[in-house]
Amino acid sequence: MTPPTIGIGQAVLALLAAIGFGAGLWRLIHLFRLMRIGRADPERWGRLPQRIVDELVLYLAQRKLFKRPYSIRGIAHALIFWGFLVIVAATTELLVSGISGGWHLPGATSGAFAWMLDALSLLVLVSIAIASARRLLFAPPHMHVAGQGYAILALIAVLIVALFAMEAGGVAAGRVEPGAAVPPIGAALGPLVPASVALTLFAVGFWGHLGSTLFFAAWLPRTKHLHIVTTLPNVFFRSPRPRGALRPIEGLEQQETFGAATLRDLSWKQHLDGYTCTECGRCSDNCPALATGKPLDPQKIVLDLRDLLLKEGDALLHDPKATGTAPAHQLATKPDELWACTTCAACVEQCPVTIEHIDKIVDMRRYLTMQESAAPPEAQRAMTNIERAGNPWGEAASTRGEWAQGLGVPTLAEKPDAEYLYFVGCAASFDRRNQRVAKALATILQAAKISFAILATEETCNGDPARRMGNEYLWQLQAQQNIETFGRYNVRKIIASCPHCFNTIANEYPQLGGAYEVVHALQLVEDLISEKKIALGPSSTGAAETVAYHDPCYLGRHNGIYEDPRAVLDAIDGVTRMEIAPHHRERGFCCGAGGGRMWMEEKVGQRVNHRRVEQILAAGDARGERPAKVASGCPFCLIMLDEGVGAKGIQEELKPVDVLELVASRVKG
Amino acid sequence: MARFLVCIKQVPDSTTRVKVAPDGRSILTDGVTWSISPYDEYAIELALEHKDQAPDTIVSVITVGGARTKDALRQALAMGCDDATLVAGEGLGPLGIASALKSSVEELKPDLVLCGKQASDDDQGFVGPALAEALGWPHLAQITKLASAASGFEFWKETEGGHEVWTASGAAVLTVQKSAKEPRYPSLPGIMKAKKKEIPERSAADVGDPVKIEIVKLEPPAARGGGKILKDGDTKAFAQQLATLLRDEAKVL
Amino acid sequence: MRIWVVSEESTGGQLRRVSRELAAHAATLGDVTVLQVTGERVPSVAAASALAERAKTDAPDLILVGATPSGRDVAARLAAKLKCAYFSECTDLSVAGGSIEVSRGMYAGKVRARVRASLPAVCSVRPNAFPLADGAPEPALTDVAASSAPGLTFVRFEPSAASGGRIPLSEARIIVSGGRGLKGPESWSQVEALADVLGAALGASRAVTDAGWRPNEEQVGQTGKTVTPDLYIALGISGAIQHLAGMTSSKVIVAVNKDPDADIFKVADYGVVGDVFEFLPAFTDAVKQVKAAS
Repeated sequence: MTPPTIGIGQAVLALLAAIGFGAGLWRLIHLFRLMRIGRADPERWGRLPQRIVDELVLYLAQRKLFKRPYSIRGIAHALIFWGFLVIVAATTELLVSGISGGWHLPGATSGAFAWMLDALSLLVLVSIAIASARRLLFAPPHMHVAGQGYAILALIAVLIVALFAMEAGGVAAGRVEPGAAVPPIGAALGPLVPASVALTLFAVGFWGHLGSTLFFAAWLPRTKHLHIVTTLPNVFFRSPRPRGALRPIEGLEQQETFGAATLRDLSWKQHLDGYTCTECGRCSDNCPALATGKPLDPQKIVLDLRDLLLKEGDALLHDPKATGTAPAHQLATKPDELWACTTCAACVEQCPVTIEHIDKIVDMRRYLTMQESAAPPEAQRAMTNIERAGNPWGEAASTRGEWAQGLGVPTLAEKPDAEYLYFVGCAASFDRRNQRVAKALATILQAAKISFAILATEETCNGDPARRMGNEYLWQLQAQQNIETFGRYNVRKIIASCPHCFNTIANEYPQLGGAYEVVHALQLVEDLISEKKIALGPSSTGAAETVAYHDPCYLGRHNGIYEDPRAVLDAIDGVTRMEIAPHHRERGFCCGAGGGRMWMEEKVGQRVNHRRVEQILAAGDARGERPAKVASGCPFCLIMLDEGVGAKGIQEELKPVDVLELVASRVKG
Repeated sequence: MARFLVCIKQVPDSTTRVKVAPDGRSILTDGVTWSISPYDEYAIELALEHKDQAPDTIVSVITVGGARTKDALRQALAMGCDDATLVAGEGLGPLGIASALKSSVEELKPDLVLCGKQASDDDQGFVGPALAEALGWPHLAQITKLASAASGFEFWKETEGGHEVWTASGAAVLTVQKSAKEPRYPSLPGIMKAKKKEIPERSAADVGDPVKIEIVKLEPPAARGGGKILKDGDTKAFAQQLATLLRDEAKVL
Repeated sequence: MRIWVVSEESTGGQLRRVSRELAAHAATLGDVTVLQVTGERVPSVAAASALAERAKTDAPDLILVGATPSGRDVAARLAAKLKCAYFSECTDLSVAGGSIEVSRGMYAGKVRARVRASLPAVCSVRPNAFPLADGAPEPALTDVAASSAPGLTFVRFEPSAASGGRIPLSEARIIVSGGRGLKGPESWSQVEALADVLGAALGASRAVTDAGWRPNEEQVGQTGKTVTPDLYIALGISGAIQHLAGMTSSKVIVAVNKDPDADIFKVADYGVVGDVFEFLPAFTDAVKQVKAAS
């Protein structure tokens, strides 16, 4: 349509555009400079092909938006987003034709574009209506429904209504150029517009649409809708590390301070995360700590850092020597928030804009632990034990291999040519309950005639608890010790029965030069079963039983291993596998022991493991039959589930086991 | 500005399972993790807790031993002690160690000397009082608290039902039972500083060591597991049996 | 052989039991003089000075002191003054040819040692190391006046907040600890009865302190206290590693549980598989008898 700006209007529009975009850009530049206070982050560069794929899948195709249980809401947002993309094109075209006095962008006058624009705009309007109703009438628990949210929704609605008004008026006033397509809404509503007001309506619609858009452009960087702009780079620059791997610190010993001592110690990307948070609350919805009454709210972790940057960033910009508030002490409650995290990655799994919550929490823990020596006392005791006894419980290191006595399990010293190293881990080495799991695995491996050996007293803690609790230094010491031992024996393949050992050795040891082929025991057992290297007989009692499968966080969410343990359970005759719906697979609920929390007290709210036991029982009740056992593939989960059923007095009705124990009881030979 | 001197001893760590050598007269040191004796850690912590309140306090740490004991001194430095000294000398008995420490004390001139209640290798608790005797200073044992007083310090000595509060008119030796908090975990800046710190060495030459202790025999600790588990019988009878076993066999009653 | 037994201030006219034990045993070795240092709140250095002064003339070959906290303190200072051998916490001793050989614990009590030195020597001796026969005569007491204690002034006594007179966990030689198997807080009257007879401190598993049956200060375990008693009695405790981490350094572990497969039995030196409520009263009685007999 011919714009209503011919003449002075062009200049006015150009000026408004300059002001609107200028203001927005001014603010964006300021935010950019604040972001750059953060440290360099080399891992964000490189791997271009993967980054482009991520952009297409996660940003453009909105894939994470559709995760359950948010699928319908995800579709609504996707429509708003795609509609927004088209509307941006339309608005740009209006600005160009308005300022130029009638020159249209190629394709802007086509029927295809007109239909796409109107259809999507209508869908966006409907979605806005639904979104407003949802916030007004049944707001989800963790969504911030501030006035700003409604204002933005209203603004978008105004923007679109103005567009339709412009189309209607423009069609009625004959502003459609010959050869240009008639926009469908315009065509439908145009006839209803009285001729006397047509031109006015057209102009009002035009200026209204562009005016509100330019206002939005100026205002957007001051609202959470900044995510429209920042999600693009935020997805692009996401970490290439495997999810279970924390960020390494090179040259740790030469640093002046450790961990996130100031906003400058967080990386620019972590600050970008803060800008990108859409305040949707999906992370909070799925956090086991928040669900059980702890002060930790993942969304708050992200937004508090953003707020701290906005509050103190200018001072840091202007004075290179200024340090500002330590992020870990931003509030008196911040340390409690940080220590409550089990690093289960439910937040990271859910976040549609790929914010990395765990890295921030660990960086702040690193400051508390390494710089201030302010980790909780029980955590410090566990660290001292790892240092001196090679395990967090302080059991005598010389007894590490004793679980295997009399089982014919060789050590690597006795059998240096063994194909696999079975890295037993501290729990299975020392905890009497978990020693039975190690024995079960040994039985299975021997039945399959797998060539394997253990390190016994030459094994030491893989360092995972220390690293998660922020003691990067101790982790490096532990890892280097194991890597050196592995090197001496030329270890190539490692089996771990503990997902934390598995995760650290597979995903984190390479950061220090230790690269091996690492499998979790259940992955290997699944192969053994499908390759018929072991045979499973019927149960000794002949009775069938229902076994619930509990996804360990470090096997499932952190490493994507969901199917192998299930396949193993399914291969056991007489076992009916039950899912702990809806908290299973990617939505599995943590047992509470990760993140070093195994060694810390829970002083507030409900025990995470007790909540998990309740979920298991509820899932059983929902299908009319409670499971007799709950099986997992992790020693921590086993200890926590044991404690949970014991606390509820149901240890005879619901028995926690490891999947390996079930297999071992049936394996022939 | 006060100066404290903490005397520490490096011993096998409490998590290490001690193994007796085949000749039964010493323990095997292969694979032993060495650390500061636990009561000495409390002494360090007590001194550092005071330093937290009065930051100009100087906390020095000292040990008598071989080169390996420098690790224990560095651990103490990492916790926050200001300086460390090694008195080189191995195989000295308690009176010899006390003499060796005495000359360092006279040079360093601390206001207070702190020791742990007893070392966790010999379980004796002799060196503290012996050092006090060598110096001619008074000593107080079972200390759990150190408080600033009008002139000097108040020493809280744990006894039945509470604490006796004492003061000293001059320097004194304290043997420490406990500190207010658990011994602090070193911060990484502390560890890094401790690594670079110089540890001067003195020699323990010409030190009198009038008493010779000879180890006749060491019995290894009972191995865990394979205990006497009484089952499938009358619980009350077992209770009786157990009491007798504990008195006669285990000798803990 | 000339032997001294040094005693703390006696209460109510009767010599402390450990001193009587030592006097009776010393009588089998030679001539015994039982000394008591008189005075209130005598610092160990003052007591040791007075005794050292007297030793110049008396020249005892062997000095025995009961291994109470103050007894050990005086004994150590005295040995330093006399520049002779000192052995603390002896459980047995024998003298031959101018030397003394004692049994004592080393390495935090985990190793039994026999050590020897030439006489003269000072030994602090554990209570019950030398059981007292019934009807043993009360030995004669000699008073020694304490010297002055230059440089030390007693200021005041600070009583501790009522902990019911219970021994603190970290210093306890014997601990009686209860777990979920005890069913509820009411069971603790029986646990306390046993602890009283044993002179033991009370411990608890985390499940029990979480449930509010017992105060948090009693919690033994990886997030509670680490204890190193001579005897740890675990009643109705399963033996999960979080608990074991706090008591695995105990010299002797006794476990009572009705589940024969409970993991605690894998670390116990002695165990009873049975009903803890049948066990408690029977064991308390048995201990009373055993203690009375010695």
